[in-house]
Amino acid sequence: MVKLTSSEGTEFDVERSVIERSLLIKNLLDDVGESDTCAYTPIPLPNVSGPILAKVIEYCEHHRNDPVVGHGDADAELDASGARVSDEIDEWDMEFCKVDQGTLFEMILAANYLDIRSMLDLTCKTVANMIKNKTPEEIRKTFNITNDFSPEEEEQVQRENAWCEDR
Amino acid sequence: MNSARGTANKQDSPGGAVGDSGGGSRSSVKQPPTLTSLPPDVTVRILQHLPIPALGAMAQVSRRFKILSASEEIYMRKLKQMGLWVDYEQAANGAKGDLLDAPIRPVYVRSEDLVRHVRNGSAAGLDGTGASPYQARAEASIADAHRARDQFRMVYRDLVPYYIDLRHRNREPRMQSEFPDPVERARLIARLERLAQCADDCNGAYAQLNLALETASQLLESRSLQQFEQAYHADDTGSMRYHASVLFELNGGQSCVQIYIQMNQLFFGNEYSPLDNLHAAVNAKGEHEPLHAFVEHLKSEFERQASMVSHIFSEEDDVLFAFTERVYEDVVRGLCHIQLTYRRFSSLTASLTQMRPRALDPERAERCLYNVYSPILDQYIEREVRALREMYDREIRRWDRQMEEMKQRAETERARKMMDAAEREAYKKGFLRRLKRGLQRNKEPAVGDAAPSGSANADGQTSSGGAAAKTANDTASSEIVQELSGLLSLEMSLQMIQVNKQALHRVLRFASLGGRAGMDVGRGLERIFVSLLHTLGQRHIKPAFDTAVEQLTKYKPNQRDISNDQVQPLLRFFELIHLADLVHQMIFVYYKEEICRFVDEHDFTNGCNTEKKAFERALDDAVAAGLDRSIEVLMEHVACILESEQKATDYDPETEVLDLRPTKACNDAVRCLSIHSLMVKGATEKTMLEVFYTELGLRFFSVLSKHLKKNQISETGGFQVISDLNAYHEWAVSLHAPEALRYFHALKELGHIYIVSPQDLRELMHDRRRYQGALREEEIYEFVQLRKDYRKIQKVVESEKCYVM
Repeated sequence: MVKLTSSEGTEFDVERSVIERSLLIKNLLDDVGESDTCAYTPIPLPNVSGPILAKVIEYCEHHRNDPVVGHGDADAELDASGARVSDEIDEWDMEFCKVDQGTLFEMILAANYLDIRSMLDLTCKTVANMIKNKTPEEIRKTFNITNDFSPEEEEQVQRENAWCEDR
Repeated sequence: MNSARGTANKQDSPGGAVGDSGGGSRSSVKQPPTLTSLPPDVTVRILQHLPIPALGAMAQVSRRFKILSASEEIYMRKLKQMGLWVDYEQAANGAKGDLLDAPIRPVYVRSEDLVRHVRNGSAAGLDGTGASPYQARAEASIADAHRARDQFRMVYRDLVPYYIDLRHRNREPRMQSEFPDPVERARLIARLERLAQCADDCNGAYAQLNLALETASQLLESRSLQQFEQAYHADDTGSMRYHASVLFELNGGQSCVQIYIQMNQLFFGNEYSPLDNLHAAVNAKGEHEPLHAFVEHLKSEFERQASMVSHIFSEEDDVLFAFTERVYEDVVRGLCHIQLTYRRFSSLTASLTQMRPRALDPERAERCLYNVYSPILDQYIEREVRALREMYDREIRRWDRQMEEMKQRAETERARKMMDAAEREAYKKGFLRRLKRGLQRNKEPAVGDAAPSGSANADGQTSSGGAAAKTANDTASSEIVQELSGLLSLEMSLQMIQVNKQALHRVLRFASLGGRAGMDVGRGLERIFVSLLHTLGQRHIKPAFDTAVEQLTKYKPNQRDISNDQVQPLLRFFELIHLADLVHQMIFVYYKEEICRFVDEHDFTNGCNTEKKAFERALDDAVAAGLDRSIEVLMEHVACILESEQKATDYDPETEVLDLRPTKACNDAVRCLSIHSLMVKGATEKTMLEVFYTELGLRFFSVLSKHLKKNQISETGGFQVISDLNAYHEWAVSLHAPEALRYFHALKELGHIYIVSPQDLRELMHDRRRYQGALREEEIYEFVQLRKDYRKIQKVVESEKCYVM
């Protein structure tokens, strides 16, 4: 068992094998060595709030038996034949990501910080799906972004990106 | 900390968190993050999952996203996905060859090909006259622009019209009309397929397009394949080459290679029937005409294919390899009656690597051969070992039967047939010579080949046949030799070793296979050698010793026998030791000459070495046990001689006449002893011999003392005793066993106590140095008591003793 402390000081007990999906914590535990010392020394995670840490643990527990996705290599998600590792999001993951935007972004940050590759990909894909098939204006609205282009700039950027249109 | 607490924590925490965010005052960063507030690298991660149109839209959202959506990583990744990413840093360094950092390579795409395409394209594209405008321009920009985004944009802009054009299912796609040349169209389709992979990431919006693309690809493929097939049948190399290149562009051309290989006549049977050899395999000369013809045919076919393939395919190495692999799998495997064909096919394989104009990569060729033969190698070795064991079994049983028959003949008859020692010696020497000669001769390859095998039957026949021929003129003497020992057969051992060696050589032919098979060969070799040791050790030598020892045990000396100098069971046992030693030497020669070429002598974990050690140990044990028993027998025999021949008057003569020669009993005993002790010499190793002689001496000493104590000795008899003791001493010297000699020395000195006056006696008795500690005082006392005049001198001696005490 490993003890984690969230930013507000809440303690979480997690099985070591579960939380080792986080490379950050795995490396930390590997460096420390003996697991029994870890049980009594909580690992502080000042960047992760309690609810988000709960989500993270939920994710890790659900995916505890998945093969660990290769890490470090930028092309890791391109498998040997060149095909993309499936972009399909399964049902559980979909449900898991049905949260408000703030939580979703916090989850992204937590996954990034804790170095949980598959969770980071999942959450990023979820955001990407929210962006897809929208006009720039719709995107601005969805994510509450201010348009900081001047009209001239806007026209230019539109021209520059005309090639992206697929019709 | 238990899990209950953990669960409680989890349930608690959402409430706490809500409180936190509600309060919002505890920390300055409590504002929930937004898309804009994410760190750039995380944002790029999100953007990487976007399809191209969405990236365009994203760029127009705000300045921040304009910059982020132009990030190199995004486009680099897409280019890599398409297999188009060229690392220009490396290209600029002038490195030729693997310029393409391509995690994805179609099976038959050589990297320099792609680079060549790129280069040609760029040259043609700059002036806009390229044969395939989309590609020319796309790749021109790849070559010129050093930025992934620009590269990708060029590719995308050129490809996408054809891609989205597929939406219009009702009319002929643009690529059909704009690229009438199938080669170019194939190339386009291949590119589009790659584009499709990265253009659509998350949802099924493009599924319909992709389906259409797939259809187009399949259509082109099947049409080209058909034409390729037609060209094949028409033997139109040019046309074949053309269609092969279409398919190569389209998807690497695997399907076309498959068809090409499948259509080869070789797989549809041929006029050769190499299997004929199976029936004729055991013919005496071991020639394999049908097989030979077939292998020649294969060879010429390979050569034809090599030149054809180099005309048709651009990736001829791989195609040729695929073809070879297939031939080996389908044709050779069917034939691999392993022993018969291996040599042929391994030489065929070797010749494949020498072919013109296209040779096969040696490593690949060997792998083909290995793949075919290694699965059956195990089986083969198993069979070889089994055949060997069966043959040994037969031989041993035959021998045992002969022994039974022989037992029924009278013992005396056998004794008469014995050869004298010199003759035996010569015969045995001849045997060892023959073995060495045999081993040398068979080293020449021709002999090994002539013995076809694989079937147990052929095995046994050829080998025993060879041995039989060789020994034909020796039959007469071999008969005698069997009589000679009656227990061990040198002939059979020799034959076994020869058969063993033949099996060994057959297995060794596969040593060139390497890899796991090489280990199999090593193990097989071990098992073959071990089975020889087991058979000879456990089933031949051990029973022989058992019988001999049993005969020794049964032996009881009687009056009738002592007239004979030689004790029959002893003689036979010593002879057996000689023979066993000879067998051991033969095995040693075999081990040195054959096994040591493959097995490290000092590798104590190797089965050959451990088994050889065990064999030697068992032999030594058997010899030692037998020797122990034989000493007893000898002692019994000698005791019997002494008892029956030593007359009471020998040491207490009635006359005063001195005859200073040893008594008859003494002479006979010494002769008997020396005959037998000499026989052991040379049969076993030196240390064992020393132990044996020492033991022999000591035991005889006790027999002799016991014997002496039965007599009464007068003064005149004393001289007789001395001369006897001298004779015994002389024999003891011949033993070269200092430990035993000490006792005889003491005994010799002791003789003087019978001829001195009582006054001098005590001095003699107490002179310890004289007896070198071999005799205790009590013993000397006992000997003194043997004096005829003991009663008279008793007082003197005993008072003396008291005095001493």
